Amino acid sequence: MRRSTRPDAMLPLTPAVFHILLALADGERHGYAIMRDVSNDTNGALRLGPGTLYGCLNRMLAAGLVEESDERPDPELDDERRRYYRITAMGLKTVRAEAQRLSTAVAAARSRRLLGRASS
Amino acid sequence: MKASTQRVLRAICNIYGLMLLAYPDDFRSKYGREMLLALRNRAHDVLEGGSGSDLFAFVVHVSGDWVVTALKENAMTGTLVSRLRWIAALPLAIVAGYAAPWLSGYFIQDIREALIVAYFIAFFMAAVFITVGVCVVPTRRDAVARIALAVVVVLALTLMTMGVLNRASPAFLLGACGLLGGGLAYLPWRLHSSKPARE
Repeated sequence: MRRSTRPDAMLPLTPAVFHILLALADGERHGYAIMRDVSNDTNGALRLGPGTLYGCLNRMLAAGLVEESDERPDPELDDERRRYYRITAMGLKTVRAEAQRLSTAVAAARSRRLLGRASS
Repeated sequence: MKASTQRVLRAICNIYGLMLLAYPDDFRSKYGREMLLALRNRAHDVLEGGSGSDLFAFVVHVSGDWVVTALKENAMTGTLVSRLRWIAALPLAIVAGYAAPWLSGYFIQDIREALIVAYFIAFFMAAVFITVGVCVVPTRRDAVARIALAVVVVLALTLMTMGVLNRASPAFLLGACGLLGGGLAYLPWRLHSSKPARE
């Protein structure tokens, strides 16, 4: 994953990268919280192992999609050795662009009656 | 948490700690501790709420993730080939260890001379295995030397035990020669280690 100033240049994202960005869109998270959120968001269909998660985070840091948070948790509330990650402005633009791309693909599938109507 | 569950959790973390050695050094030093923390949390949740089948699924998932990502990260940093070369040397060393007495007995009719040759081969094989391992993975000489020494010690002790159990077998001396060769090959790396001693 190369650093780019254009979100479109990074598309399509892998499912792991897309869901990590989705989890971080809600706020900063540590590694295990990201793993849990991704599993919950996908109803368990995508479970990230530690190798996949930190491999993706390593490349996302290099690409400028996420950054490490300087803040450390309160030692009484959480393990202070944990590193927290947050999404960057570039990451937010990229995840929006990917969501838009997927939405267009879903709309195309729906127009061909491959999918049912979206539940409201 | 029950004491038995804590023991399983500790065992899982210890095993995963060893598995992390398969990742490239930079990657491991940057993320290894966090990967272990994340795995510990996940394992804790599985052990607390899950059944035996959940634990099995967890182990399979983590193992699969480890194989794929360790290969991928090594391939991306270019250390995969050098590591594979060294790993490939292990079965060769084992085969050579068992073949040494047979081959020397085949070429040299005098059984005593054949055994002496076998002892020398065992000695050099252990030394070469450690030295080659250290040379093909130069970025982690100390760790590679320790792992290679552990392999040599296990093989040598196995041979020595076989020798003790079967008094007529030369396996004891073969194992002892391997141990000596391995120890002598390991010492230079240990003594010239550039890293400061741990406090």
